[in-house]
Amino acid sequence: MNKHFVMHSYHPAVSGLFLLLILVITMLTLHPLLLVTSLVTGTVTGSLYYGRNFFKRGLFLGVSVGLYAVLIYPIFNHNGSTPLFYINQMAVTKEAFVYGITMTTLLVTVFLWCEVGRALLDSERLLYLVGKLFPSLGLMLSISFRFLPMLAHRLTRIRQAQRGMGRRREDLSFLMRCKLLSKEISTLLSQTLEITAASSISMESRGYGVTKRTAYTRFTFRKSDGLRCLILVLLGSPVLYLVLSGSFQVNFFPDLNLSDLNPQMILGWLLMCLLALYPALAEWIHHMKDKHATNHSIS
Amino acid sequence: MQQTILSLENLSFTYPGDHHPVLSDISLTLKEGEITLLCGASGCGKSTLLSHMKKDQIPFGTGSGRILFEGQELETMSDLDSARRIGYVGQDPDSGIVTDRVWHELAFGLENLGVPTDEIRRRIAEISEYCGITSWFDKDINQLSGGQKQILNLAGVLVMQPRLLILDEPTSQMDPIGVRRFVDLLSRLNQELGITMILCEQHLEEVLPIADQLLILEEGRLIASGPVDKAHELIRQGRSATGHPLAVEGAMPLALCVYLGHPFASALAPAPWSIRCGRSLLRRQLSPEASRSGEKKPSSRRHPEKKEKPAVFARDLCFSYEKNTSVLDHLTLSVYPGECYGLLGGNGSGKSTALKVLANILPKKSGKTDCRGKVLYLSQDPRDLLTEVTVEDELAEAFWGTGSSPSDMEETITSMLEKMGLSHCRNMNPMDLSGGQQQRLALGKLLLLEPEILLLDEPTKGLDSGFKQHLQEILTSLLAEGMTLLLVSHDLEFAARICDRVGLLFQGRITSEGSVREFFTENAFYTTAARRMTRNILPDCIFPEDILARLKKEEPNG
Repeated sequence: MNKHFVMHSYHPAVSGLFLLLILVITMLTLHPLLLVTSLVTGTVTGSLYYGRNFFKRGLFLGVSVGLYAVLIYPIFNHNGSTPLFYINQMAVTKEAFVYGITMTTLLVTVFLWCEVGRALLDSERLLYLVGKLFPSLGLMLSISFRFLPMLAHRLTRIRQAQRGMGRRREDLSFLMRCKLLSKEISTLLSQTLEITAASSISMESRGYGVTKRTAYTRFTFRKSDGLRCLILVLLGSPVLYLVLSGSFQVNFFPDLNLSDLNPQMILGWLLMCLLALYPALAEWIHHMKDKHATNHSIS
Repeated sequence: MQQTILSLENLSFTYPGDHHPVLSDISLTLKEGEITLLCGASGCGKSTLLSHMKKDQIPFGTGSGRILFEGQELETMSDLDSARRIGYVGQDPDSGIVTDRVWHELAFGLENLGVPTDEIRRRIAEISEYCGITSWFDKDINQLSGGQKQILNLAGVLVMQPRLLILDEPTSQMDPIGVRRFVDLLSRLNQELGITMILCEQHLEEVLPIADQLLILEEGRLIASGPVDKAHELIRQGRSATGHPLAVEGAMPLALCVYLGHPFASALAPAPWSIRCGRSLLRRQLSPEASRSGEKKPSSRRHPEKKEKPAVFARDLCFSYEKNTSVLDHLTLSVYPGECYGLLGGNGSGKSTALKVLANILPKKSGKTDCRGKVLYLSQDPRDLLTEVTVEDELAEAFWGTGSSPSDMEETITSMLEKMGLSHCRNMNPMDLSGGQQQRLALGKLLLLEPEILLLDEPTKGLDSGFKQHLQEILTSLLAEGMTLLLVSHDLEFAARICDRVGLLFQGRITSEGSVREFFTENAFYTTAARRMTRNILPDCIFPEDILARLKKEEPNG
């Protein structure tokens, strides 16, 4: 995951806009065509960033949520007009099954895209976007991103010190274990107070609050980033329009009802494919250019 | 004539509720482009004095006297000027850092001053190149080593281009390599950019050579001040002022200690502080025969009975935090009952990990360990063990969960307080104690549990020479009572004094091992200062006392 991706060389707004579009579209539709497209492209993009393991993770989540949605949900939801079989004289219907499967797909897809989002927007980029939207939050988040891992590290150290005193968790009763934890946390708290006091001195001595702050960022919004955002908007807005205007309407109950495919939908689907594959395509084009450049330099 | 950057005139200061002033009648001047070194024992008021040099850090209390920065009263300086022109770096690398990324930390000060983005970009690039940060510029702060963090703290202050840099024991939490790197950077800043600095330090061996002015503080009084070249005279002056040897002498560079400890025939104009100066001093003093006349000194120390079963035993011990990176690689180690074993090694050699695996805090991956007796482990940072609000309660807490609290607890605790030299702080909050006192409190807490084997992780970290001495006395008395000690340290001088045997851990296994005298006399680089100074000149000297004793012996002949 420490590899450098071409999306990282763009301004964070590009990644932010992309994720916003793809998540909104995915969450607003239950149409199998768009959902499956989103699922497949999400998996492709995710594997690009995380490697093969990504697929396994998605599958694991899919199976566990799916178990609930496909096996349990239909037992409790008896709407739908096509009974498959009966349990306690209640119908388990085909429609409920399909609905369960669709919801699972939606959940897994959203999860996958969120994971992709984590790769596209690391803490620095996320911080930048949040800081742009809510300036006072920016520095606070930065401080907490530093603080939380440090606290976790210190807690580990404190627990090791307690263990070194011969207090082994496995020898203690549940109550004693809780008491030990509260001791460890109280130690952590007093250390934290000490650190925050020293940090505030360090902040003050470097002029915090003396005058209006600048928010320094390492990102510059170039013309090409504007172009990229424009492309994303051009790809995304028609799809969004179609979804909102009901072209991809699906009814599950009482009867499964998919609207027939029409040219509009096919256009929408194509645009969706292009949009969802944007990072993958950007990566691929970059890769081809690189390859070309190397070949060129060899010959 | 050099310009005066800062001057204090008759400064006195008393903390609220205290009867004795922490600082009394201190006058000094800092000249532009000079490095001033402030030294004194813990608790002598060094930090209080330094905090008077920056407006927003002057502590609450009653003071008198004048503080002038470039001729202007410090109190009347604007906050903006104070932030920009006076930089301050504190002791703890962790707490000085505010943000989560290296680049952001560098930009933080400039952001506060409202510097435009383009200028910030230019200035942090510049400072990053100068301080050698560029290779870890993108990193998360939590991935940095302690030494890197402190360099970052310094760079984060430097980027604001201060006129005066105040450094309060910046290297006390670092390993020797980190100290050297940091001090080199300070020296470059001073030599190449002429930045004025005042620092207080415990690592005088490294810092003294780069300093220009030396101030010796004892119990809130400035007892001697002058050019570093005359350090020996300053110390003598201090001795006569106080009537006893100074607390800081133990931390002085070895060559200087030897020079002070023996009446040498040839007086030196600049005080000797480097090993090189010390060597030429010895060469001049000693006849060439002296180096050949050395006979092996029989070791007066306890020798372990090797036939005995070891108290701590490990064979082919392996450990790793992540796949494919082994921290311990078939480590084999025996520590015999009643001996003190020192595991030495650089950063990342796996010393602390080895200790934690032996203490059963971390699970071993493979290999055999066997500890005969109750093993307790003292963490590197003693504060990790402290949970209560008074020192007394803290000791009583040791019995928590053991089911048995001794009937005469009061008495046990009182005697432990006495043993650790903490009787006077019985009702204090453990967090208000100094580093050395916290260390002893944590040690006392463990001792109440009556361990037979004690594992100590960097016991001298952050301690000044007085506290080290005290710790050494305590550990020696524990050894006399039959305790087995295993300690890891990069403090060679301390290990040489306390250990019976030492081993060098390198890349996860012990590469050399031996009794203290064998180990330190056989090593050429990784050895005590006394050995480095006497190599090929005097045989078998690993402590300053050894050198002084030899010099005395040579006296009648020479």
